[in-house]
Amino acid sequence: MASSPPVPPDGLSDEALLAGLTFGDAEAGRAFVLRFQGRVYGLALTILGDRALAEDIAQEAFLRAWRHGPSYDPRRGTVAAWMARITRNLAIDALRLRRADVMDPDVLAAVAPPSDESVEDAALISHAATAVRRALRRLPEEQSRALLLAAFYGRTAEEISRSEAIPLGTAKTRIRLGLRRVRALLTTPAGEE
Amino acid sequence: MDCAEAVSMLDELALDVLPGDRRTPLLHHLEECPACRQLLDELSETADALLLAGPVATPPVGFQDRVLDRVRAPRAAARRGSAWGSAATRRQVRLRVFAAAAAAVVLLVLGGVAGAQFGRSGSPEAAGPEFRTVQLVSATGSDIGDVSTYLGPPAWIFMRLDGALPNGVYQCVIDTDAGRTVPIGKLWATNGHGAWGERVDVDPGHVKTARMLDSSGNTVATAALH
Repeated sequence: MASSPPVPPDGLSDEALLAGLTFGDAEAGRAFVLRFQGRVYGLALTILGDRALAEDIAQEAFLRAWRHGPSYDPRRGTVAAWMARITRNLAIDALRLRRADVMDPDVLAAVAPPSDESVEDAALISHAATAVRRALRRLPEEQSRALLLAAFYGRTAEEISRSEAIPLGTAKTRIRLGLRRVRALLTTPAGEE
Repeated sequence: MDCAEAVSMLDELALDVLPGDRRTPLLHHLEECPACRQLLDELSETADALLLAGPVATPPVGFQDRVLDRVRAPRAAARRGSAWGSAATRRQVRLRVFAAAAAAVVLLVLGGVAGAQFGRSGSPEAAGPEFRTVQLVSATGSDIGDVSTYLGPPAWIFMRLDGALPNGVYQCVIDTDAGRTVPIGKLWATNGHGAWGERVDVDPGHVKTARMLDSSGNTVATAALH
């Protein structure tokens, strides 16, 4: 018999844990929630700004992952990105139900750690996330604002045009230039920028 | 629509903020244009990176338990509606949960088409995704778990061990109709329990058996998939 020590479920890949959650394995499901709860709740809280509602949305995001796990396609992104998109879309739907309360979100909060982020949570923030935050800081403010309004709050160019009091074409340009500039900064090796 | 017009809209599509009336012609263009699809993939990757750069926050105490309670609730409801008790019955309930999940996936794929049939996933004539769950049988003929397959795409295989095998690491393999044996991962058994699931590049419709091997390469459990 193999002498290798047993590896707990939290040592499995994201994909394996998702499969476990989907197919009803209790230990894998618990490990999956533990692995992603900080990101999912953090994203919901960022978009909604309300802890109770953020918990509701985060719970719903995990239920969606359980129900729709088999539809996850690794060719279209990582499990983390899939969970983030589920959470973001649920939060935006909730946001639209009470739109009057959030006409002017603090977009910079989307990429700034909140004050209650623990050391343990901070350890989860990847090098890639740090690079994204650095890239966003290098954008002109109006571009990063338009980009974050679209990425986190689901604002269309037309909605940004209205809320920022700028022409529609300008809103589209800010979104496009912002995203392309971030991509360029992320794909340029350090020291060659 | 030409590439120049498409490229001007790809960022909004990648960020999922492109209105429907502009989305439809762009999607038609993307079907025909690999270069624009490639750019969309790159921009989508950046859009994902933005979301993943959002702050991590500690959820309220008990969050994990509340999530898992909600996941378990549908299973408990299924259990209450049956003559729950024997191992065979528990397996039937479990299979019913899989069937419900399969139906949900079918509905998802069909876009909520009215009249979609629950349970159609098991019918051979059904188009689209298909779930199957079969027993995992030990070398001595005991029922020690199950193997579930999802045709996809993408295809998945999930192996679950419920007991009877010693602690340790087991190699999971699948045998295809063409006689090929493909390793798909390793399952760690602890106190008789363990699970392994992963996307596979082999069509589960052409997988004859799924097996677990011990460290000596001996088959300790087999599931006959067809």
